[in-house]
Amino acid sequence: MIRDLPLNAGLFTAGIVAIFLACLLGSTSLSIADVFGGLTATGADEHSVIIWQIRLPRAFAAFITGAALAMSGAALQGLLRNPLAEPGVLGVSAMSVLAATLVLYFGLATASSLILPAAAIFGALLATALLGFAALRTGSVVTLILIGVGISSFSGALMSLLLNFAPNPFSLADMVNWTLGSVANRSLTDLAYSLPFILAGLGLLLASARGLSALTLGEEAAAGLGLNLMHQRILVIVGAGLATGGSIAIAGAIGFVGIITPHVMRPLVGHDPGRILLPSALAGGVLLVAADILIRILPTYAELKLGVVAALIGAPAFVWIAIQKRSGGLP
Amino acid sequence: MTQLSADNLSLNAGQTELFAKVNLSLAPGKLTCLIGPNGAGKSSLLTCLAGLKKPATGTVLLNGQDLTGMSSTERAKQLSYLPQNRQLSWPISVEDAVALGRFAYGGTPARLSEADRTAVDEALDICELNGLRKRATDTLSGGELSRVHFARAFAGKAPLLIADEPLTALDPKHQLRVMRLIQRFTENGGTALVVLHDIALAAQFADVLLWMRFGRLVDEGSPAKTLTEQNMSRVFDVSARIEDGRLISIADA
Repeated sequence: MIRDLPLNAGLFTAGIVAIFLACLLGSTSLSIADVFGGLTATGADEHSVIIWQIRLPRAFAAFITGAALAMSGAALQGLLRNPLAEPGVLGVSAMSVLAATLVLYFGLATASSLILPAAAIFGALLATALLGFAALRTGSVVTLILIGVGISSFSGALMSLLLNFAPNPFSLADMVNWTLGSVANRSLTDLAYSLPFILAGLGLLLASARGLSALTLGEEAAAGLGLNLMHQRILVIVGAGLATGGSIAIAGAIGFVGIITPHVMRPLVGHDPGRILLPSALAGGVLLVAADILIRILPTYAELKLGVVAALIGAPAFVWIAIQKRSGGLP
Repeated sequence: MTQLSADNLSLNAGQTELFAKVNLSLAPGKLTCLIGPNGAGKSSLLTCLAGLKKPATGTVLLNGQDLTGMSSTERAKQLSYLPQNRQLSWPISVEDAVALGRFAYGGTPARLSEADRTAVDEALDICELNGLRKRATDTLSGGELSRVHFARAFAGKAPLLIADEPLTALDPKHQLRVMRLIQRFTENGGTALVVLHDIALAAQFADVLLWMRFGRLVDEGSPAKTLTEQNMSRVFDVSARIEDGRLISIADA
């Protein structure tokens, strides 16, 4: 995508700067030189440990989560041709969190490190598949979003039921943490289990970019252009399921990144739903790293959870986007 | 010359028959207008002929090849289809919308080859959209938007064009303008099948009229031969006055 090279290069640089800034923050104060030394393992050993074991994994976790959610949101918006579609709004995140929490509730997560990511991804894929089937039956995007709201509410209700039956305060706290969403205390190993799924998901979504552009003309015209609609739906649904599920395995539920980031990027790529994917991913990563820096700078009594802050900013933005919606031709 | 023919075509939606026993062969290099009342099955027939829906019975042959057996890209290179819906989901620019016409050749607004670019420029030229290249499609008038859709169809260079009610919501001047675009396309060797509701315009521009009613083709031929008071009465259920092959007025039957 040569056309968007300057934009993507700029966002990529911003990502590196943001991750570096995130490495400066923490309970031990490190100078810029210390961070450089830690990163390149040329400085003091404890600096290397702090950077590579604590700060860098946290910054990476934030970036990867933001990238996965933002690109999933952008792709779902392109497929459903509605700027309000997003993993959180469509119930994909809720279902994924529910599946992850179930695994925690039954104590299965201790058996293997792969079980939690697998459960989160299974939940996300289940929700996207449900939406995919619904999309085949109904032509109305509004109906589809309402189905997503239904999936979200039902998963939320089951979550409450699980919390209700939590055997002890510790497991309750464990499960609640999932629903709040955070990237604190993640190790590179935690990331390594989810990363392959996320990368596979993002790859599938990028492969769907051309088709998303064509869908601007509507499904009938896009099919006339030579797009295989079924193939396109499967690419986006599986791609968004893998990426969202993988991100939730890392960070729990973090809402609205998938809706705000594409909204900001859209005018920069000429409103093209295919070109928007990569810039959205990069910007989503930057956004979450920046938000994670912000919650650590804010002098609050207890450290704020990333998901809480995302929702506090994101929900009003969602309403604002809904009111602003340009190109209002869709049913 | 591109050949499109249908043999014993039928399609149902559940228990309802949309159309049946349709046999037709489009005259190559000619403009064929499909006319008939609302609910006659015209749009459903077009989607089958365009290869977007599989017919319940019968086959559609495109240059002697069964349409259902062709890959979607292969089909799109031969046949461009303009559905009734003209609304774009995102306010992309005019030139990006036209560039989507290069989809079957691997082109997208993000990446166009030399050939893609030339085709897009030509299409913009033909449809007189050069001054509007950078405009967002949601700021266009209905007439401009319909020209954008024709431009994206022409950009694909397909020799066969199928358009569903391209004149809806256009003023008389823009209706003429669009009909001239289609006429020019057929004069340059293209084959066109267009659903029209304006009988007078259809009679004025079409080489062949297809008359459809209750899911059946009931007559077929040149306007001079088939635009008759009898056809107007049995197909549209109106009493028409026709003089010198021109529709003068209509009234309730």
